Amino acid sequence: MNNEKPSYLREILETQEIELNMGPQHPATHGVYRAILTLDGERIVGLNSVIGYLHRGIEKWAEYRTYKQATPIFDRLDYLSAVINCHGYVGAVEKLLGVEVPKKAEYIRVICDELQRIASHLIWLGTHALDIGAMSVLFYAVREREPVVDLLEAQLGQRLLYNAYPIGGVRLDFPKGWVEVCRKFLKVLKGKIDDYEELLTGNRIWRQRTIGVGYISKEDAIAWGLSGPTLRASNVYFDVRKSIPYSAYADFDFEIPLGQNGDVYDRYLCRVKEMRQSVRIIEQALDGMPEGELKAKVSPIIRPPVGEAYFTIEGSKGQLGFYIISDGKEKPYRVHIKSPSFINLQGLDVMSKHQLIADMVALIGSIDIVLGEVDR
Amino acid sequence: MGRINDINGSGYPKWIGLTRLDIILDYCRRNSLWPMTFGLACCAIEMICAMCSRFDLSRFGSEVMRPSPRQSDVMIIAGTVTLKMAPAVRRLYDEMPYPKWVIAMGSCAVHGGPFDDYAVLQGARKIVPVDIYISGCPPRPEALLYALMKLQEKIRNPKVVDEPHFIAPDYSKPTKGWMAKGEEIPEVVEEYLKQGRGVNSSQILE
Amino acid sequence: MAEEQSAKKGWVATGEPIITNAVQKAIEKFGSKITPYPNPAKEATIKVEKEDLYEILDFLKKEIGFDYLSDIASAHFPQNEKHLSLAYHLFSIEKKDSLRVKVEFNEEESIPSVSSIWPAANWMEREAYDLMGVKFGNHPNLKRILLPDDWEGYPLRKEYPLGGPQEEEIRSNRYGVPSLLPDDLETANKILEEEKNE
Repeated sequence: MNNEKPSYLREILETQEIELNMGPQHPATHGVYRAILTLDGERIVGLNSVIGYLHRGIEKWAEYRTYKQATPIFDRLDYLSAVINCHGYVGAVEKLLGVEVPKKAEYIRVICDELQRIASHLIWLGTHALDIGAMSVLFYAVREREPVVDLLEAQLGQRLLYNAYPIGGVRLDFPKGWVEVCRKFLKVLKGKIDDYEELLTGNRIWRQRTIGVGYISKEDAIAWGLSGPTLRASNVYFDVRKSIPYSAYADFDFEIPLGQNGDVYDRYLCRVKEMRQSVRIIEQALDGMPEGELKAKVSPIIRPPVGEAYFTIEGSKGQLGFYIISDGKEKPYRVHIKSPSFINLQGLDVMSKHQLIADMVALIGSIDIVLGEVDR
Repeated sequence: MGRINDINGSGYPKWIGLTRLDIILDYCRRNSLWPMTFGLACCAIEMICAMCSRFDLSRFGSEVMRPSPRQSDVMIIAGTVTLKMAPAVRRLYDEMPYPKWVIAMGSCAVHGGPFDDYAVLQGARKIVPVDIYISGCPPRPEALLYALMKLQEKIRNPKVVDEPHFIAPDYSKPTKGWMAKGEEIPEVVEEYLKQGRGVNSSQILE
Repeated sequence: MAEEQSAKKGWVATGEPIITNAVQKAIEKFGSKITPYPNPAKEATIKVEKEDLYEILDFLKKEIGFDYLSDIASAHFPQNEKHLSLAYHLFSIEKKDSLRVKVEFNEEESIPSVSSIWPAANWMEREAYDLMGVKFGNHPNLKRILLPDDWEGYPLRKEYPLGGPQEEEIRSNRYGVPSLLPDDLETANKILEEEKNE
């Protein structure tokens, strides 16, 4: 892909590079992200990302609250997949305490996590397609997301930021009738994902706007620390659910979709296929649900041993990690969050070399950043 | 002569109206408030949900969400305003043409939310004049619709702000949870009500 | 008694050190420069000195195959001898092996940047500089990233108050006294009329 200016133009025209500000308030930047682009005509020559417009000091805030009090704030990190954030933090505390979560609670956690992953990918699909121009997909995707959010509301009590899991397990079992409604919905969802693929995957305009855009090679992707579907589209087999198994994922049979070329089209395909795999995992979990307790015995005031623990899970954006240092007291000494969107956004420097401005919009959508996670 | 429908015996037919220009302009303004998409954080997702098909915002007049401040009437500050973002918020408010209104959505915009720390502006009211406050973390899309209706009432009659206007929960009726409009309460729930118990949404799902 | 002892020693981790194959190979090459570090959650951890850090991390990437830098986390221990510490979390995609490398130092010392080994470290080190004040040498672009450019102070340090420059205002008037009227409409209307007549 030779994106350089042709040689005859380089000799004849004397051009000047301009700086364009894609400001914090922009319909296509998925939040308060500011990109200062250095442009040569319409080609992007340099990119200077300015972030921090949503920095809320969550890491410092958590040092002033006990472990249980600090749990709700981590939903606000990646607010589109709040259940998974909560799972990450709670898993890190459980790793430090050495608590073993009962099997039934692990299965319920897996089901809620995968439902949340479907909801997050649906919003991604809607907003990504909206930016590129296919506006109707937004309304279809949000229409599909409403039953998922309703199911999670019936189980966890809230629509968006749930404070889903206590330390040690889950709070409640599924309500009566939840499992049947879930199964019916999953059947409907499979048909709807086919609809979205029919609208976009073979669409000539979509393919022209996304194939070949934002290429990143396999070695670059690993060196720049990318994770999640952004990394898997470059043919790297790294999914935390398979590489560092946690919770009950080892019991289920599912595939990890990989892409061949690391461009926007492959990232789109990876995420859509991931949605199908999530449906598969939920069906297996519902079929094989064991009996047992819902929560392990944990003392009311949690005082972990002095030390540190690092626990990573597969968030919907990538590898989400929680690093907790404890000093034996009831408040965490230091909580550090490894946020996938922060690191994937670094890769935008490499991906956006010599692309057009219009491709910038497609790129930001394909990396799937959530500014709450980037800025913490 | 035949029946002439007139207004208060004035002799004018009913399809002629007499009013002040202010009232007509306010009628037009309040029924077509176009919000500016100013979603900062989590409340923006609930704003997107309020815009889409289930909780449709355009049936209340907000047909489109304009990203440009020059073409919008209402600024819905949805999400946390940090100290780094505050000058941008103020600048966008200044760029909006009059008449303009501001809705502060979610507890972060109202008073800083759960974040009482170094980087968060404790409330959007410190930089822009706010008309309607919505509390919640995040507030449901229905709350945003209700706030828009309250704003329409406020535009119609500014004195409504000074009157006491509280909405307390009505404990005598059960919560409907997520039963669709028009569904009957099933017999199980009626039994519960006869026993004197309340009903939660999770119990209705049978 | 235990509290007094730990207060004198500072923060010291409990548990036992775990030695994996990777740690074994590193100890064979570098000997006493690497000390295995105890961890209660059974994770492989080693501690190195600041001078050998770049060499050891280079070896870990090229010879042992830790090609993925997961995270760089900073921490502040004012009660220890060496006040600041950094933890590098490494991961090997092929062998599915993970390792944590810790280094401890004081505020004035500068750490060599590893962004030439793993480009991913660029923004991670900028964040550690921004929030904790860790100085990095040879960094391509060491500027503030999350806070505004003219911010003073390093918020994650233990002596920095939670509210920062707004601390007094927040703690004294967190929930300002609102002028709420009572729920009863009659009394509320009476109060409003009294206010109007005043």
